[in-house]
Amino acid sequence: MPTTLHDVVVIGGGIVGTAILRELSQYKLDLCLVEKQPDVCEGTSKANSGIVHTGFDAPPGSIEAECLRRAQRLWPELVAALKIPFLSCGAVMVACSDEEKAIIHDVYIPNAAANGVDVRWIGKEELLERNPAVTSAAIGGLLIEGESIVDPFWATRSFAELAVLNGADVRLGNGVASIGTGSQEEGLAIVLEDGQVIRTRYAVNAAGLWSDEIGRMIGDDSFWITPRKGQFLLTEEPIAVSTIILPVPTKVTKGILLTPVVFGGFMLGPTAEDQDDKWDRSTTGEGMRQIAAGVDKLLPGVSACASIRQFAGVRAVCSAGDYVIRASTADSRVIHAAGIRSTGVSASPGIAEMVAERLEQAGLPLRRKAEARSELPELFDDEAQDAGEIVCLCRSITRGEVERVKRSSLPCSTIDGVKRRTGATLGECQGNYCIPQLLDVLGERGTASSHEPLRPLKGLRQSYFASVGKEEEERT
Amino acid sequence: MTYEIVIVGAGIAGISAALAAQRSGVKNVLLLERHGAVGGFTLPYHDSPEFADARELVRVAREIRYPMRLRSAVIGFFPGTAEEGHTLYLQTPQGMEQIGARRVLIASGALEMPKEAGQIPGSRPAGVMTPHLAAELVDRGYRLGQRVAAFDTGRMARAAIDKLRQHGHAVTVFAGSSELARVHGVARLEAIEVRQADDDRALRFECDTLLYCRGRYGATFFLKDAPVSRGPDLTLATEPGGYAGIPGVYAAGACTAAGDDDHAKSAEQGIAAMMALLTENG
Repeated sequence: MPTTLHDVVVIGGGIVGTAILRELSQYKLDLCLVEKQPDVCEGTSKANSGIVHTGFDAPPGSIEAECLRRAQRLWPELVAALKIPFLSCGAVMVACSDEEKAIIHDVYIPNAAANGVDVRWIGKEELLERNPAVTSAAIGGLLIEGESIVDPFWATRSFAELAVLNGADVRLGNGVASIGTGSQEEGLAIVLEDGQVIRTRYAVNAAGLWSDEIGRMIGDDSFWITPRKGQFLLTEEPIAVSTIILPVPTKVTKGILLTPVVFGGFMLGPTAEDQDDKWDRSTTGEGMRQIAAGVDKLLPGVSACASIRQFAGVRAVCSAGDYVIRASTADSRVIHAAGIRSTGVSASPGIAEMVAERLEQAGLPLRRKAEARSELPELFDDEAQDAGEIVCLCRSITRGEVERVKRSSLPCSTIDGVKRRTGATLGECQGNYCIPQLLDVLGERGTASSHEPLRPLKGLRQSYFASVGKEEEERT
Repeated sequence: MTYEIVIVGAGIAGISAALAAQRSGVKNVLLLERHGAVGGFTLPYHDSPEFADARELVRVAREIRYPMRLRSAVIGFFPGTAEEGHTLYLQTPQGMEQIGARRVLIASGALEMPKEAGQIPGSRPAGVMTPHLAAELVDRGYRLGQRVAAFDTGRMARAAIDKLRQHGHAVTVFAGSSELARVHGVARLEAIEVRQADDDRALRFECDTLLYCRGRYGATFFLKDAPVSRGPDLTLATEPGGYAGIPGVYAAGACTAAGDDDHAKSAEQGIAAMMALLTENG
C-alpha cells in the first residue's frame, strides 16, 4: 500500500518531543509525532518540579549547559506566544554553615560564571526578608534570579497544539514496535504497535526513559538509560517564601527543594532513588520521611503542612553522562534527543533548536514556512454567559471551562488530560466528586465537535476505572 | 436582590434548617444547592436503609415553600455589616450572579477525604476511589472491576458497598479499624496491602477496585478568603449553636468541625443553628 513519506517523525510526546515538533513546524516539512500513551506529557515530563533552570550548576562545556543556555534565551518569547503560565520567582541556595558558604563561593559562583548565568551572594537579612520561613540558622545564600517555574504540562500541550495548527500530525495511544531501515527512497519504516507503518525520511528519538530501547531497534547501543525516581509532596498551605529554596548539594544528592507551583501551593522534593523498573512511580513512607527531614532543615516545621497529593516521577539517567543530541551511530537518519535528565523541561526549547540543526547537518533542508503560526489564540476569552454551573467544586471550574477542552487542536480522551487542561480534579477531593460530572459534560457526543466522548480512562493506556456495563455484556 | 436568610446547601442540615425557618414563619428565605436536586452529598446513598432518615427528609423537603436555586454553587462570600448584610457570589447555569443576604446559614456539607490526604504509600493507579465516586459511577450505569475491596469507614461506605453488590459486584470488606498500608498497580489497581488492627503484618490482597476514604473535607472552598476559622480539613470552627464568628453568619452539619463524617448530627445541628440565627441579637 503506498503511503506518504514524511520528512520527520518524532518518537515521544513528552516536553522534548513536542518542543522539537513545534520548532520543526516553523519549516516547510511534513511532520508526524507518535506517542504510546493516550495523551502527551505522560512520562518524565509530568512529574517534576517544573523549574526552568538557568543552568547555573550545569557542567560547563556540556551539551546540557549549551541547551540550557539557548533555552534561557528562547523561553520568554515562547511563554508570551503560547500563553504558558510562568513564574519568574528566582531561587536561593541556602547556606547554614561556613562550609556550605565556602562550597557556594568555590564551586557554584565560578560555575555560574562559566555558564554565563547571573548569581549573587545575599546575606542573612536579605535572605530572610525574601523568605521569612527559612531557618534562622541560615547565614546567607546564593540568589539565582533567573530560575523560574513553568507548568510542564501546559508547555508540552502548547508545543503540540501549535505544531498541529501548523499541520503536524500527532498520533496518540500507539507506541513504536520496530523500525525498518530501508533505502533512501523508501525511507525509515516506523512500525506501530497496532501494525500501522509510517514512512519517513528522518526520525527523532525523543522517547525519554525508553530512548535507549528505540535506539536498539535500529541496532544502536551507544547509550543506555537507567531510571531514577523522585518523590514529591504537594501542599497548599501558606508558606512564607517568595523563591525556590535549594539546599547546598552534597556529593550524593542535590537535596530536597521547595518549589512554588504556578497555580498555587508548593512542591516539596524530590528524592533521588535509582531503581530497575522504569514504570515504578510509587511513593514510599521512607521517601516521605526523607522529604520531611530535608525540608525541615531549611524550613523548620514545614513538613507538618497537610498534603493534598503525593506522587513520584521517574527521570532518565544516561550512560553518556550528558544529553545525547546527535545522529545515531547506526543510521544517520535517526537523530537522538536522549539522555535528557532532570533538566528536560528547562532545556526543551534549546534541545529543539539543536535537533533542528542536527537534522539539517544530516541533509534535511530547512526552509521557513511563511504562513507558519508562532502564537496560540487566547484561551481565556471568558464569556460569563456560557461559563455555566460549577463542575469541579474544590477548584470552582465551570462547565464552560470543561467544554473548552473539546475545542483544543489536540484531542483529549482521559480524565488526567481534562485535569491538566482545566485544573478540575486537582483540589482536595482529587476528582472523586467531579469525575462523574466530567464524564457527563464530555460524554455528550458533541455535534459541533469531532471529539469522541470522554471515556472512564484515568491517564495511562489501559487505566480504565470503570466500563460501560451493558455494552460490554452485549459484546461478550 | 437581598434575602432575609440565605441557606447555603440543601443537604440534610440545609433542609432541616429551611423547614425550621418555615415553621417559625420567617419570610424571604432562599435555599441554594450546587447539585441538580436536593439531598446534598449523601444523595447517592439514600436508597440504603442506613439513610432512611435522609430519604424521609428529602421527601418532606417538598413542603418547603421558599425559592430554591439548583445547580447554583456559592463561589465567593463577602461579609458586610448587620445593616447592609452580606454578599454572596453564585455560579449558576446562567453564569455568575450576586445576591445579598441579611443573614446566612452555611450548610454546605463535606466531601469524603481520599487516600491522598492520608499519604498512603504506593502507586496511583486507576480504580482507587472514594465510596461516593463508586456510587455515582454505578448510578450512571458503569461497572467497576471484577474484584472490589472496600473499607467500612462509616454508613456512607456501607451504603456504597450495598449498592455495588446490588449491581452484581463482588466486594470484599475490610474493617474500618484496619489500615490501608500500600497500593500496587501501574495503569490499573492490582493489589493493596492491609494491616489489621492489632497485627503488625500487612497482608496483600489482589483487587482491581478499591473504595477508600477516611474523614472528610468541609465543602467550604468559597470561604477561603473569608474571616472565618477553618481547620486543615477545611471544616469551620463554630461556637455551640453554630455561630461562625461573623454576626449573622451561622453554620451547621458536616461542613463544621462540630459535624461528623456520617452526617448523623446534621439534621439536629441544622435546626439548632437556624433557631440560634433567628434569635441572634442585632
